[in-house]
Amino acid sequence: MANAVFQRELKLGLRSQKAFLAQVVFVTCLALVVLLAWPKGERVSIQEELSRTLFKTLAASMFTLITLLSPVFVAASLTSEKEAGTLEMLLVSPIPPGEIASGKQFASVLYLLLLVVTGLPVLGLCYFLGGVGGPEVLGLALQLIGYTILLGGIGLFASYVCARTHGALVVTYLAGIPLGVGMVLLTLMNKTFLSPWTALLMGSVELVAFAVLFGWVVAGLAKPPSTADRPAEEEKPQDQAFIQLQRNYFPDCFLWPERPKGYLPDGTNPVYMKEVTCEIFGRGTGLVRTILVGTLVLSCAAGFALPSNYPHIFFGYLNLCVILIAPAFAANAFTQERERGTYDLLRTTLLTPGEILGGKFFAIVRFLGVLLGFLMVPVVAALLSIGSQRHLGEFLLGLGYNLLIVLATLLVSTATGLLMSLVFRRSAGAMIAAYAAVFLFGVAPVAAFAVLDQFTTIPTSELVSWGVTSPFLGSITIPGWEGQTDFFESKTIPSVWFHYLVVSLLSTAAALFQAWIRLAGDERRG
Amino acid sequence: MPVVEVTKFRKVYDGKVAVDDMSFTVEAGDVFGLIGPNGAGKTTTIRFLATLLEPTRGTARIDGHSVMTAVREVRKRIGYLPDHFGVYDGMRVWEFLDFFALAYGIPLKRREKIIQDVLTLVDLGHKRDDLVNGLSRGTRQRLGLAKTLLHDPPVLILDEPASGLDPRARVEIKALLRELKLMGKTILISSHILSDLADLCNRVAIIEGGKLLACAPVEEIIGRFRERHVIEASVLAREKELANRLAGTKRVANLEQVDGQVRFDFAGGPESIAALHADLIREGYPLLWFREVEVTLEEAFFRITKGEVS
Repeated sequence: MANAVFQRELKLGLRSQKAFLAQVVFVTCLALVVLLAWPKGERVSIQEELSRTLFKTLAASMFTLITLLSPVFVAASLTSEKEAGTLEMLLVSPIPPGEIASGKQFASVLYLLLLVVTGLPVLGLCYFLGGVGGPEVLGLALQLIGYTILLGGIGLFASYVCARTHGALVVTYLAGIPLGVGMVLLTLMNKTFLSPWTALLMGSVELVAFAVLFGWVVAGLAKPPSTADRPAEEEKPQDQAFIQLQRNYFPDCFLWPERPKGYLPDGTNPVYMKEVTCEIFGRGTGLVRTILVGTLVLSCAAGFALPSNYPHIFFGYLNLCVILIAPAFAANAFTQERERGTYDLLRTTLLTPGEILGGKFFAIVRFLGVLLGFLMVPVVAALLSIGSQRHLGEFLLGLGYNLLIVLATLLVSTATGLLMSLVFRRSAGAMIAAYAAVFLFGVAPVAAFAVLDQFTTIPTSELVSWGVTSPFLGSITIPGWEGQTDFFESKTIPSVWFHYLVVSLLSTAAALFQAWIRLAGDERRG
Repeated sequence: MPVVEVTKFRKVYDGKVAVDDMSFTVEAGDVFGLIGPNGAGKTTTIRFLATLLEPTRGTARIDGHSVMTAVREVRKRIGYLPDHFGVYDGMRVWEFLDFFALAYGIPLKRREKIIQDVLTLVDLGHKRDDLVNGLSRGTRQRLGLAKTLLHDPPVLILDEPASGLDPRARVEIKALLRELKLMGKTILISSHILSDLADLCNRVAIIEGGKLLACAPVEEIIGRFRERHVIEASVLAREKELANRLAGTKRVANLEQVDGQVRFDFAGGPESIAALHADLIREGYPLLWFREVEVTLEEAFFRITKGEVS
């Protein structure tokens, strides 16, 4: 008998608007890379070299796009059933748990593989230039298939562990993005990575990892834990794995303040107080601890692995953390109120839209600021070792400018997340849109810069000056790092960092204003 | 002057009319029931009154303030309980009420007493320190009612407050609403559990398909069917024969056979009913029972929504 879950998922998945949009985005991005990088009138010998670079760039683009798009399709596989209250109906049906998990899994992975296949003709254009053989294409295809299956397994696992799609998306992105970065770096830097044998070896490892995750989910579905009758209790520190958060100890109290002992004082914003003391940790500390552990590990790795003569890379890492974490907390600020049915209760109080929005905004900024403070510790330690070799004044000035950029990224990412939370009705949609927006404005300019710098003769300083929406490009224009003039091939370095500060603060104000209009408009739209 | 006044309210969602040309008033101290099947337009009407919905057309005033232009003034005067509402995970019962009390601008010096009072009123004093996400549905509903009472609003707008509750919780909610009625609150309540509304409301509006079919005191609505008596008769093994016999009687209408019983409307007073009963016995029908069925709000609702009485 055919797998009913698979059939339903595939049919509904392929019919959905997001499936069509993802395909458009995927093919358009690849086509743009080809358009920018296509050689114009060079000799054949140069074309071969360009072809190999183009092939690697396209391969890296495919890994990036699959990393960014896959959580959208896989992370909701089980959480959507949980949210709709249909998972238990599925579990008590005659369909075995293995079939439920495989049906969900293969439908989403199949769609992602379809994306890979639609990208292959674009990749095939490299044949016209020469220099790329069948083994490389086969190797890339195998690497992509293995990687996609692994991401599918991670998404399924996150969807099994998390209660809501929002949490599953965050976990999938947090696990997927470091993997994706690794795949991109290996594609660009390792010569044997795209050989079929390496791909087979990597694929086997990925399949084993997938099998472990899949088996875990199937075993879990076969014995679903019963929590329905358990009375609600506050999470105890001893129940927390990896690291413990204790709200009455320094420095945890900054991240997760203790509840006020008595009633809220007059004049305080109740929404801010609610968000800070209850909301972010409402369903326990699990998500925050996962984020904290993941980013601390990456932070330490970055401190050791990144080249010490480019201190701005450390701030690039911090900016990336902000871009990854801020939408996770901001994009569900209002959708969560809607989903659990507290939005109308809030709207019929005497709180103004400005008070509600401000309370949420400042609570998230405060929380993320403290979280960043934790992450800054290893980064600052690494920077101090560089700073000791430099002129202190110049070093501190650069440090200050970089911190301003991180702060601006924090503000604009949070405001974007909040706006999306009011534009979309569901957390998953809001989060995907928020990530899409911050990646489009923050990360895509870096990718465009890398491609254009590689394949065109436009001066680096001019290319960088276009990226006023990217904190990464802004950061590298802050004066005071070794070899900066060589990098820009010019004595005049564009002040993109300043433009970025202005643009991001204006964007924050615009996003918050738009959010306020929407919130005030929601008063009447119904 | 009526406390709640809805005039020609119309709401269209994506070309589909949810409520059409609805007008009614609620007087101070009334317990006004909005009755209708699912999708009738009850929640749309209630959300409009709770300042949460822009009408396609029409107006509404609460205590003289327009729900469209004087939103803040209206919100001071209403306590709104939606049909499905959630709670903030990780908050305790008193913290949940404290949050909303501050959101309604109640100063600290009054807040503690008010929270204690509403907790006592809804009988949740013993749950004061429990986490709200661990409360049962019935208890959560009482917490919701406590929240609506915090700022002492004169008008309560309650959307299906007893929906999904077990019988005991429903009885408790009804008792609580009676107490609020005695406190002089004007209550606008929607429900599809008609028995709950019948002994609670003094006036009801019956709506179906977005249209107001009837709006009057409960007694008046039931009284519309008193001209006809509903009779149920059960006969040993001869129900078809009895049905044929009654079908030929002039004053009998709406005759139906259900589970071996014959049920019909009879146009006539007690004497005529007694005469019919005597005739049937004389004709040898072995009657097990022959009785008049009391017209309830439920019965009236079904008849009105069938279009029997406009």
